[in-house]
Order: sequence, then structure tokens, then C-alpha cells
Amino acid sequence: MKKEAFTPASPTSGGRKNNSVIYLCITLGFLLCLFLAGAAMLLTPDKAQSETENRVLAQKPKLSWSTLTDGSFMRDYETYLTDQFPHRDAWVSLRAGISTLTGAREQNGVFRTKSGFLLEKQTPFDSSLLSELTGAIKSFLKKNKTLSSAMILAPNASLLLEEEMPYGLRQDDQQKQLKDIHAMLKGVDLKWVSCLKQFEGADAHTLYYRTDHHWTTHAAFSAFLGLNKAWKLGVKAENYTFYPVATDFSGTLSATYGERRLRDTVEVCIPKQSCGTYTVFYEAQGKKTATLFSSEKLEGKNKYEVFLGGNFDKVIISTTADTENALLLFKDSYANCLIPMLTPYFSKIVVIDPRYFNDSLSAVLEETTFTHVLFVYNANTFLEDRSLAPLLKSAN
Amino acid sequence: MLFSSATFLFVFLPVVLFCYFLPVFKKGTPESYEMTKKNLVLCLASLVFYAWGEPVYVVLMLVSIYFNFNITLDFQRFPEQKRRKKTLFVLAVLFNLFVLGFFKYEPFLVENINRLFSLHLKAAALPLPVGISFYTFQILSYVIDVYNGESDAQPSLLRFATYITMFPQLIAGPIVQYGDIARQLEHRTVTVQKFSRGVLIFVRGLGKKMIFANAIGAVFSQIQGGDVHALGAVTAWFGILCYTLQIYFDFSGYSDMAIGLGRMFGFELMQNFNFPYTAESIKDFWSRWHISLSGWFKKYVYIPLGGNRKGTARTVRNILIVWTLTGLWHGAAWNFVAWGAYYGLLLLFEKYVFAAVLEKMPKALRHVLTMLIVVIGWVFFSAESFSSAAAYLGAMFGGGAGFTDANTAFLLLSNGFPFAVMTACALGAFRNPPKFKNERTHLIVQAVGYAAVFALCVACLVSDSYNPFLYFRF
Repeated sequence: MKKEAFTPASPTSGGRKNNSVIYLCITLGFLLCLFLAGAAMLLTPDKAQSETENRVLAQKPKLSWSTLTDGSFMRDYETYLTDQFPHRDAWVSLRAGISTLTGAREQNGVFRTKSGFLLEKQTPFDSSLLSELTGAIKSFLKKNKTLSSAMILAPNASLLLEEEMPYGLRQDDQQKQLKDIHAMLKGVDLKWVSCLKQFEGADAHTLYYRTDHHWTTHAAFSAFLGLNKAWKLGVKAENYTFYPVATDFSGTLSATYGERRLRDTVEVCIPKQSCGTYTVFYEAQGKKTATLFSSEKLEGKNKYEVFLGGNFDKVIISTTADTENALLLFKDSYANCLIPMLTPYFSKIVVIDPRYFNDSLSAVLEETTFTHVLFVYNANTFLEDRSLAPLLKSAN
Repeated sequence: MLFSSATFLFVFLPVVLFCYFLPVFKKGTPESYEMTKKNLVLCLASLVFYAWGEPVYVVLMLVSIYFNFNITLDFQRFPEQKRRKKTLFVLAVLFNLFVLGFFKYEPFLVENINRLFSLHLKAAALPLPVGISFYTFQILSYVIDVYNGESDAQPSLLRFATYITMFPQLIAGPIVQYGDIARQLEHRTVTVQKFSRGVLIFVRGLGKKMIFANAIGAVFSQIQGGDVHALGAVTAWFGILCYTLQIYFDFSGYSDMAIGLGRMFGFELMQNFNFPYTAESIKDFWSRWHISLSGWFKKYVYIPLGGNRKGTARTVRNILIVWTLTGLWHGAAWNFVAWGAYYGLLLLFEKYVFAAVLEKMPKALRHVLTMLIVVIGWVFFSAESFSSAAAYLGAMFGGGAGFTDANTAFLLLSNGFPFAVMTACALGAFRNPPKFKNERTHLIVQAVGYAAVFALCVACLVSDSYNPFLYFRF
């Protein structure tokens, strides 16, 4: 700890020989810190993004008359220096370690439970936002009466691990939030898949990653079985196999919290070969593949992106499934690990991520004769979503 | 540029230190050459330092320096022409006050004129140049001292510019009076011992700012940022106590950094804080808090107004003027005026009504009462406006969400330990740490301790997003 009072020794005592070595050490040590750190900052090559924090790092700002006079060059330069600071990760975890030692139980909005889970705070309920969103969903379904519809609204880890949350932390009751949303969606024939019911009996610790805000593939599979009940798809659980594909996943919550040791296992769940094959078309990117998995993402930091390669505006999946069923899927990233399970039951799946989709929804609806529409979101994202409602309203 | 930034610590400071100590003259060259070179480096560096944060207003500062430099030289050139001298002096003072007034108080003035006369005048509302209150006060001290004959006018523009722009104290004080530093501008030495002392003081200040003030300040801004009606009394008190710690560690940290940096360049700057939260009366508090500012107001406003030598009525008037101005100096808004007037009234009360009672009171009680007054004062100081200060004050006495709110337990549990440590530090619990018998051991322990503090500061610098500068309104 810091010593609050530092009283300079009286001038008479300072000149002693034996102390002058220490003064010299202090002086040289300080200068060395400044010069070496300065040199290291200027000489180490800049990184484009941070593996640990899963974000793009600031780059050297462009110098021009206007950026100089409005001061933006100076501000950006400081961000650039701290973002590109040598061994940034080590400094960040030193900071987090010390602040945990001093009793802080929250780092940048992320909490750590007793069992070592990292959790995000729940999004509070904004009733005007939600009435607009649920209203948009209802009127969309009323307009497209032929579609069988369902919604999977996944709870977040902090609901299932509620008793492990730090003592005294109050937040909205997500179970009530889910109930309220369900009630707001009454009046249309929307099948509500209750994840909480599906999760009953399962160990909550297997349903979410410890280091990431996503649910695990097991949790997604439980929800998928719930969807099966709702739509009577005839799923046989034994046709699905789980494969671990990575054991060293350290997710975005780890980075935010400054935790460096925890690792998670990522599993994929795929239907057996006999259930058919498919092709995947990323329309805007003009990319066609025969897999829903991007194994190259396993080399990178954010291994959850192995599913679908991350979030894309529109992905079209055509399968060899012997059915007329075609699915329109509105989703956030929670759906990414669930999509591979759907392929045996639909001949075509169009996946729309409204956060990135800027095209015409009407065109999508004209292009394909859909039989089903599915919404897959996690509660935190859904509660603050501002992109789905305008998109649904646009399809008239 | 802020001291607590990577740009300052790892780019600016090493380059400046290198240039400053780079020997360019042969042995035997007169000292004045060496000093000129050092002043030149320091002055140019300071201009870069200032321009980094205020790329446009640096011109304003240069104009101000040039104007004041010339006008004070004129005082001395014609000492026999008293009227001319007086006219020039009044002109100089008005010029400086006008610059300060225009940039700092114009929007406030226009707003109040509009309110008073129901007008719709438009304020220019230019952004406030950082540090303008500090450097204008330094210039004024110089102009007044030269006029009074207390100091000689500085014949060298470089030295004068160095005094005004000197980056260690440019943007957050201490307010250096010209007389205290005039000699050091021409003659100063740096020894290894002095430099290393400077390093320790600088690191202490950096630690106060980066480790203490920023951490506890984040707690306060979280509490203040929420809905005041949902604030329980306990949380509100905890919040303002956090701010009490933040403002002290932040401000005294800046002063320490200034003093430490000054020493690295051979200057001795005055102490600006002396454990203000150990004060036992309001008067005592103000002799320990921002000492250079209270000293300035005393010397250049209170005493010229007659001080306490012209009867009680005049003294009361003078105290009220000084404290209203002190409040206004901290920001152009009514809550700052209220904060200043609050202290003025309390000081009067203490002086004329309460003095006898205070003397009989036990020390501990006096201390608690003083701190209570100071903490309530910070409510006005920390608020955005007078009305939000009043609302916060209401919440402290149960006018918000009652005694506690939903977050109280979590906030106290999460921040209790750092809060306790900082409180102990602010109250001077470690003022005189146990000394090792061997002075050498003591020094080594100190050096290692400060090295750890510095490492932690770097960690905070790299990872924290909350690193505010509190004195933009000064």
C-alpha cells in the first residue's frame, strides 16, 4: 500500500555517501522506466486487434491540420498508446487482480460467482421498448397467418445462477421479465418455448460458458427439444452427437473481467450423416460453403464464432431434407449453435440477424414460401433490441 | 496533456528530460548560458504540453504573456511618471480580468442577465481554456508585485514565459507567486538527491490520482449518476464521502505531481495541501486546503480591501467578498457561489459567534463538526447545478428513497475496504510511518514501495476507462 506521508529527510542527513547510491538507483530506475517503456511503445509493431479482449485496437491516428486544431489527434493518440501498450493483457489482469483483492466484486460490469462463473448484469425492463417490439412481432404474425411461429427466449446465466450472485446485488427478476414478455405476446398463435422448463433437472453450470455470455450447445439442444415438442418435428435425440472441438475457450467476459486462467470447452452438436447434407450461402459476402462451422475460428480467440462463423446479416441454408418446410429465423448470436440441429427438418432456412440486416424483408418473404418462422434471442439482447421491431414493421 | 496519461509519462516526459539535461555547452561556459538553454527547453516543452490539450488557446496564452511582459517593463521604465504607471497598471489588471471574465464568466453572466431582464441574448459560450484561472492568477500576482515594488520586472521574456507556462503547475496549480520563484528562474541546480526526491513525490501524487481518486470517484459518479429519488440516505452519504476522498486525492495528487516534477527540473514549489481533513475548524481547513489559492486571495484581495484592520463591519464585508470570489473562481455557476458564500458565512460565524464555544469543545468533536461542514460543502461543489445539489442534499436526509436503497449493501460491501484505507490515509493515519532505525533501510523500503505504486499506476493507466480531469471549470 501507499505510504501517505513522505517526509523528505533533512538536507543535512542527505549528503551521506551510503545513501547517495540509493538516490542514484531511484533516479536511474525512474528514468529507465520512462525511456524503456517509451521506446518499447514506439518500437513494438502495432496489433490490429486484441485476442484477449476480442475487440479492434486503436491505431495510430492520422495527423492533419483539422485533427490537430480540434484536438482529436491528441485524444486518439492517447487511446492508441494505451491500446497498444506493451503487454497490455498483463497490466489489465494485474489491475483486476488487485481490485479483486481489495474486495471489488464487479469489473467493468461483469461479476464473478463463488463457483467461478463470470456473469453479466441483467438488462432492465424497458416497457415502452418492449411493447413496441412485441407489438411488431404480433402484427407481423397476424399479417403472415400461414406461418407456424415459435419463440425461444433464452434466460441468461445470471438467472439460473441467481443464488451465486454477489450478496446484496439487486437486479431485475428475469423470470418475471420473461413472464411479462410472454404475456405481452398473447393474442397470436406463437408457440412459446419455455427454456426454464426445458432446463429443469439440468445442472445450471453446464448450460452456460464460464467465461462467455453465450449458452452452451447442451443448453441450446434442450431448447431445441422444446421446439420439437411445440412444432412436433419428430426429433430423435439419438440421431444427434456432441463433439468437443476446443478446450481452451476464454470468452469475452474473461477479457472484460480481466480473468486469464479460466477455460471452457466448446462442443458442437450435429445430426448424423443419414439425416442429409446442406449448403450454406452467405449472400452479402458471396460465400458458399458446405458447413455451418468455421473451424478456422477455433484458432482465434473467440471460439464461439466456430458456429456459423459469427454473426452475419443473412445466411441461406439449403438442405437435402425431404420436406416442403421452409424456415425464416430471426435471431441473435444465441441461435448460432442451435442452427445445425434444425437442418434435417427444413429444406430451406433463411437466417436473418436484424442487427446487421439492411435489406428488404418483403423481398425475402416473396423469394421463398416459408412455412415456419422462429425467433431465437437471449433475454439480455432482446430486452434492449432496437432492430427487430423496425425490420418487421417494414415488411408490409 | 494530463500527467496521468501515457502520452505524458512515456513520450513527453522522457523527451523533455533528455533535452533538458543534454549538455550542449563546454565546461567553463557561464552559468547564464546553461540556464537560458534550460529555460528555453522548459518553455517550449510547456507550450507543447499546453497546446496538446488546447491547440487553439495556446495563442491566447502567448498573447497574454507578451502583453503583460511589456506593460510591466513600462512600469519600471518611467518610475517618476506615477499617473502613467497607475494607468498602465489598471489597464493590465483590467486586461487580465477581462480575458478571464470573457472566457470563463461570459455565458454565466449572459444567462443571468437574460433571466433578470427576460432577454434572449446569445452567449458566445466558448469552451473554457484549461488552466486559465491558474495562469491568470499567476500573471496578476506578478503585475501587482511589480507595481507595488515588491519585485523587479523580469527583463527576460524567456524567463517570464517560463514562469507562466511552466508545465508542472500550469493546469492545476499550485498557484506560484512570482516572488517565490523569481530567483529560481535565474539560478537553480538539480542534484541526484533532489531529483530522486522529486521522483518519489511525483509517484506519490500519481498514485493518489490513479489508484485512489479514480477508483473512489467511479463509485461516486455511479451513485450521483442514478436517479436521485431512488437514493437512500446511507447511499447518498456514502457517495458524498467518496467524493470527499476523490477531490482530496485527485487535487492533492496533482499538486504532488507538480511539486515532484518541479523538483526534477530544479524548482522548489510550495506545498499546496497539508492534511486538510485533519482540520479542527473551518479556518484551519482553509489553511490546509489549496494553500496557494487561499494565500493568493489573502494577499491580493483581502488585505488590499483593508483586511481586518478597519473595524468589524469592513472585516465582515471583506470576508464575504473574498469567499464569494473564491467560490466563483472554482466555476461560473450559482452552486459554486453558494459553496463560497457558505464558507464565508461559516468563517464569520466561527470568528464572531462560535469562537468561545469552539475553544471549550473536545478536539474530536471539533474535528467531526468541521468535517461535517466540509462534506456538506462538497455536495454543492460536486453538483451540476444548484437544484441538483439541493436534491442530493435532500436524499442525504431521507428525502430520496428513505434510509437505504436496493444498492446500499452491494456498494458498501464492494467498496468498503478501499474506502476505509483511503479514509485512514486522508485522516493522516500514515502521516508519520514507523521509521526504520537505519535511514538507509528506510529509504530502500520507501523506494521499493513507490516502485510498486508506479507499477500499479501503469496498470490503471492502461486498463481504466475512468480517468477524469476535475478542474475544467476552474
